[in-house]
Amino acid sequence: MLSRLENLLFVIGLFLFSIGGVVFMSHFFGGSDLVQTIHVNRLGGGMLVTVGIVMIGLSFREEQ
Amino acid sequence: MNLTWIDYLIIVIYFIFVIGIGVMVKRKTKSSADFLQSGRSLPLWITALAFISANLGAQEVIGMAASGAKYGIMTSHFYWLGAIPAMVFLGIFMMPFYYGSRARSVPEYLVLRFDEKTRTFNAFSFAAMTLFSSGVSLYALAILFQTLLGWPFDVSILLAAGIVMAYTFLGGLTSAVYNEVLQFFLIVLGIAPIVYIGMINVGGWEGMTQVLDKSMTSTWQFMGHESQNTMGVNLWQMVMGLGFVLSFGYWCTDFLVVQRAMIAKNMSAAQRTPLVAAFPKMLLPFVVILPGLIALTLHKVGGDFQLPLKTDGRIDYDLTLPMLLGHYYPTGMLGVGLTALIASFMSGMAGNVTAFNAVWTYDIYQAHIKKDGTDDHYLTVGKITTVVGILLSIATAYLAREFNNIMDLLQLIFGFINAPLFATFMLGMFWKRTTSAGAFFGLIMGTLGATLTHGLTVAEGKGGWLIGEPLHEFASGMGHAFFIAIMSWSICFMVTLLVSLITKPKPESELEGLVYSLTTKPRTKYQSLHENPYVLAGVVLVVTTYLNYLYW
Repeated sequence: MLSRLENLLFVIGLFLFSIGGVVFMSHFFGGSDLVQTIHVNRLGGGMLVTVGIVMIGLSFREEQ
Repeated sequence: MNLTWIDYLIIVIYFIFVIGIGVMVKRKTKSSADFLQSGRSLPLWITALAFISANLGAQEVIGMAASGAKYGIMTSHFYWLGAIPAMVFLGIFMMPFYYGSRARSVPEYLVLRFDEKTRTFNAFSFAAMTLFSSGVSLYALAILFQTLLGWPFDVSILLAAGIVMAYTFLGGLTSAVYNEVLQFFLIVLGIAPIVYIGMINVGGWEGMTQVLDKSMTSTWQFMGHESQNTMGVNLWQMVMGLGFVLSFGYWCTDFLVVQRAMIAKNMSAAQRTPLVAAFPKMLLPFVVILPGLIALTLHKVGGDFQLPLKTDGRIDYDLTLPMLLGHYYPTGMLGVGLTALIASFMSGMAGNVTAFNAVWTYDIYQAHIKKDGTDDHYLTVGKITTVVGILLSIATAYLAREFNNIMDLLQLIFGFINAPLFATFMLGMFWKRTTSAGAFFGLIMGTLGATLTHGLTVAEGKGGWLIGEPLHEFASGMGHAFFIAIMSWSICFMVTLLVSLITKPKPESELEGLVYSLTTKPRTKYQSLHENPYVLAGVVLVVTTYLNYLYW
């Protein structure tokens, strides 16, 4: 696990996935319930999570 | 603007990751070359993203959105005219000399090509400029967070400077570069949703063109005379001043950006760094300039979004992007947006500090104070310089409080220092007859010429300090800055040329690998098209031309 953290693609992917996850789920943790608000957070959070997953995936492919 | 714990959590996660990168990189940082040059081992995708990210500081992110609202799509000239052609020139013509000469910095190339005094002049002026830019970044961050969130000025400065110091001290240039790549993704993904939602809101490009004045949605049509466009710049000033002198001066000779290409793992990667970077760079206007146009459209339509006003009743354009974040982003994305802004400030600051580090250690300390130190000694000097650089940046941030318009001031400084420097490099790299005396006097006279031009002419109440009745009044500060750059470049070019003709050049044997006509061009067989820098350069130029045509 420690060596994986030395892979920049993996680290950035993990970072984007983490903050994207927080944004995506924010309305469960006390964020607004307004439809517009949920829509914006799902859009932005979804983008962050997607790019994060792609980068994590690429980091595994890079090592093979 | 109110933040909740979710927004603060995102900011904290960001701080953990940037410092974590510093900690991870520290284990691999064993020599001064690792600390100051990343061991010249980084792959192309990292150097290319770091190359544009080093320039994606606060002045770019907040400043370009502000310019988008103030000047419209003409602001894209800073990319499609004022960056891409110079990046292509750097990749094709100049990187082979920077990388091939094994110089560790741009000033070090100058000592190889010319002499010590030219290197020292450039090293000191560059060091001063990086510290100033770094301080301005800090100052802007503190003012912004004081205005938006009510954070005390001193707290913002100490927090941001402390975190940048932590990760650059731990991992040196590699840590800064890795963080720049992370910051690039954060900035783009943090701001892109605003563009998407905003464009839907204003009815797309068509909707904007119906609301805004035609000069705001056209890049070239209103360039005939400075009175026709909001920038107050004419075609000659734009093309010669921004498109040639300032642009080439910055992208081809400023060590802050060139350093990112110089640390690539081989010549091919170094040459392709600015070319690959040009692809995201040419699309950045859609992320950083469009928000300004969206904000202005919303402001003109007169709905629930209004741009903020200064105390004198004029629009405060510098708050365009933060106001849009507050308007569109709820808790969650607001945290991401603000973290992206923090990242842009920190990215700009770290870039300047790491470039300052290398220039101070190699070109000032090693050249003039201790020539024969051990590698450990220079590693220690590099680390101490990081701390001193950050402390000086903090001091500069407090000094920067005295100045109002950050962008104009930076343009002015680039005009004074960078513009003549490009004339020196151009002649030095492509004319073997250029002498050390010519280069040195050319640089001095070019910088003096810029100062004189500023003192004799005036724009927006600035300049004209040498004379009661200024020789000429420019329509705008930007036009003034472009003209000063043209003058200083021309003076440097002419003086270098004339002095070179009457002084003795270096023998040709000493110039191999440093001058175009005396360097053997390797015949490289490229495995694929994307490895060929000429193909990349061609594609970049075609797409850039098309973008200029599209928003004609």
